[in-house]
Amino acid sequence: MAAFSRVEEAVRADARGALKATGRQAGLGELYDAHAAAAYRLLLAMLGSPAEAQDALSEVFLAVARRDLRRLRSPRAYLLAAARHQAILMMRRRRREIPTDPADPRFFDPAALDPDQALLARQVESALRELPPEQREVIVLKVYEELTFAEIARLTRTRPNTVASRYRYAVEKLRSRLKEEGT
Amino acid sequence: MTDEDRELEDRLRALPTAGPPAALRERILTGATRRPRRRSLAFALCLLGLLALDLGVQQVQSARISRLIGGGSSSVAAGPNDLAAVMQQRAMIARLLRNGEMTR
Repeated sequence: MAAFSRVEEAVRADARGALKATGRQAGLGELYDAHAAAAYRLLLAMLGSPAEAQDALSEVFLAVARRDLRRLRSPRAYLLAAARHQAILMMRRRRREIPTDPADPRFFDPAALDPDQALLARQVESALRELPPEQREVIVLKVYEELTFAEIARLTRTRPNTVASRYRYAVEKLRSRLKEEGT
Repeated sequence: MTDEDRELEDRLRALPTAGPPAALRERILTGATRRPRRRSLAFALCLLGLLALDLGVQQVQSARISRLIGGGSSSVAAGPNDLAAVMQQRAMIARLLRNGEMTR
């Protein structure tokens, strides 16, 4: 009888797990809707490949799903830090740089670009690719996620002065590159 | 931050960035819930296996004990070692009875 009660308990635990999983899925869905775009933008800027960025985003969210979502104090900061960490891991694992076509915009959405913006988007994308990853991530976090230097420093575990100088170098390179192109 | 920096930031922000494909959301959410369920199912199966093993061992042990005390029919065929042990015990009991040691 003890054996049967143990099995029954295991089946009940499985049912409780299924209920918990449904709740977790709802929480994860909300988290995804709110922050996946930001995490994907950072991954795309760092990795340069949509396929790799999608794999990395999956890994990040599957790792987040194993955590207690209610305990995340700042989900956005946590997700951006996790995405950055995953991108660094994947870049280390790479044996070679993924070749990218400068005429094929990946960071910007080609379907949503006006014809006037298309040229600028290609030039910005090409200029972004020439930046080192640490400058690229600062540009994305500052320009698109609108984080302060102090927040970026906390996220990247560097000093605010280092972040500010990375930003300065990146902006100067971007500006000179766009001036060269005449845009 | 200079005015030039702000102007460049505004130009960059005006460009719409690509988002993750819609199918990725579904894939991630399905994968995230499937993993823990698979783990609990594996745990339940493992527990069932252990229980079956425990029952099997108990069955064999009770059959062996009932054979050794000489009562009932055993569902397990007697091995040569078990038979030898029973014979040895019977011989010993008979010897003790003969010598009168059991009645003292």
